[in-house]
Amino acid sequence: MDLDQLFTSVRAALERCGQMLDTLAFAPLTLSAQEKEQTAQTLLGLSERLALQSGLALQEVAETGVAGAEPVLAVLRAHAALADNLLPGLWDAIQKSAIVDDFGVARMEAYA
Amino acid sequence: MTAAANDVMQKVAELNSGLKNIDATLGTVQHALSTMPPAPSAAPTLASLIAQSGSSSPDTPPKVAFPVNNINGGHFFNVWLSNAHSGWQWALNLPVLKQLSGALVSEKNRPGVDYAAIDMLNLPGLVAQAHQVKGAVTGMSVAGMFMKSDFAGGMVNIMSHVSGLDMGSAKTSVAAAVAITGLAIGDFIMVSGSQRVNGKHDAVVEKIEQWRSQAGTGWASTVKGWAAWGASKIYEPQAKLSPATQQEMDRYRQYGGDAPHIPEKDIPAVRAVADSLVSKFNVPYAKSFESAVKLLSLEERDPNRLLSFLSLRCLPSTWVQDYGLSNKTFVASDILKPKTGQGRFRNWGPDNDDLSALSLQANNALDFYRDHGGSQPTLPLQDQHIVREVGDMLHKAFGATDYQKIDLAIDLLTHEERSPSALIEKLRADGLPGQWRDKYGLDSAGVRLSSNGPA
Repeated sequence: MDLDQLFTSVRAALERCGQMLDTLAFAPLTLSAQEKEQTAQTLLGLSERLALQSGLALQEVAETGVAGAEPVLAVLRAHAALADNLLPGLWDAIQKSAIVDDFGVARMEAYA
Repeated sequence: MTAAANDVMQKVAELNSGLKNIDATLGTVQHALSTMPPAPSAAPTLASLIAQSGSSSPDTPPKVAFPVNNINGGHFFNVWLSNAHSGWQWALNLPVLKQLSGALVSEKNRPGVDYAAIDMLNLPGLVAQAHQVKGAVTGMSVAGMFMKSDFAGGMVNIMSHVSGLDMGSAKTSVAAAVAITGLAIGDFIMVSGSQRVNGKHDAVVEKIEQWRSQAGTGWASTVKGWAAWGASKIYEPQAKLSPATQQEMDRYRQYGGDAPHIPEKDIPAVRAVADSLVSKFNVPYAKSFESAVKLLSLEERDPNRLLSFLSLRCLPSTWVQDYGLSNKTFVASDILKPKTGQGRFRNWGPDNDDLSALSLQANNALDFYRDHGGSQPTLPLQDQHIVREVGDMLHKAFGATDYQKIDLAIDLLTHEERSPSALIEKLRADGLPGQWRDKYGLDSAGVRLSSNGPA
């Protein structure tokens, strides 16, 4: 994964985390308050790590080059890969937990 | 726990497990940072600041303290600011904040997202009122979690330092702004989302106009203004068609002939209708624009109103063949009916005026349910909006949740009063009779449907 791909992936993961947090906060879901809180905590944890690590990685790359930044980049790559692998499935699962109205339509349009 | 919730929690567990695994195999960012060269200035290095913060748990992201006496420069400040910007960029991409920032911050005022954020939240005027609603804010678990995050801490720090507020005021302001704005807009969108399902586009737009017209500088007016703005982006995303286009459409409706020419400025509105036809009704893309023009010309001239009706997916059956809608995603319904004498075109609208009686089929289904019990009947579509009217009344007046209100409405129509209008009048005039509270497991603090149903 080159740097462009990596940061594209990180950005997409951050946006997806934000979208899911917003959905957890405001969309009508069948999840309990505790389940929402646990999910939101995990997403906040992941997005904070991604935001912090990407900022530090950029700084390191600017100061020491890609090779020097490799320790931070390795951690960032691992987190980005984890996000790539798991966030789509989590988003699908959250969408499936949407409360469905009498017409069988999940009222998620405003949150997607 | 439902199957969907189970699935969510399983994915969350996998995510947590993956994070722990990364910490175990690659170390945390703190470890990686130990390889950083020392900062060129005398300012504290990022590594030393992180070390001072004392966060060593792999589950807790490192907490970064802001150096108060070093706001104008230095290695750490730049790194920290880049992270704060990254956090802000993320926050500003949240739909709610995105709408707010777009509404309240002009392009020329955006040299940096931090200053834009200050403008966005109108901090100085907010503080006094924010303290008053602190109680409401602390009750919001999601907003509370948001405030625990590093970048929310960054927001507080920026606000405190740039605006000169003490940290407590800055924190309260950020929490209040995020929570109240989110609540106001989220709540309105949820309510109006439900109204949209009822086809009550006109009622929602009327509410938006009402809020928009309530000019004022107070916090409540501001929130209403934001909510109206946010909702209008959903309900009135498209501009009205120009008079020239409307004349062309009138010509087409009256005399037929060539399809109306759509000038460039009206194309986005027509395209939005066409896209809705493609995504919701499987209309081929190549034919979608033509179908959208016909719908706008012959049925409903307001593109926003038409978009709301299309979102119902319950439309007059004649539209299937007339406009090439796929019947796979289409539910023929009498909810929308043409209202005569109300305009130059057909002016569709929900037929919610007549609440006097349910259909014969619905009455038979409720009779069977009353006499034989079992699960609640599914009523014909033409009766569902009536049941929803009763349910909405129970929701608004007695706090029934979205889960409960329809079940409860059906039970009351089955066992107490078969005429919906009479039932609504009775609820409106007398409230819930005392014996109903026991019979249906209700209490005065709100509505709770008994798991056993009516006695």
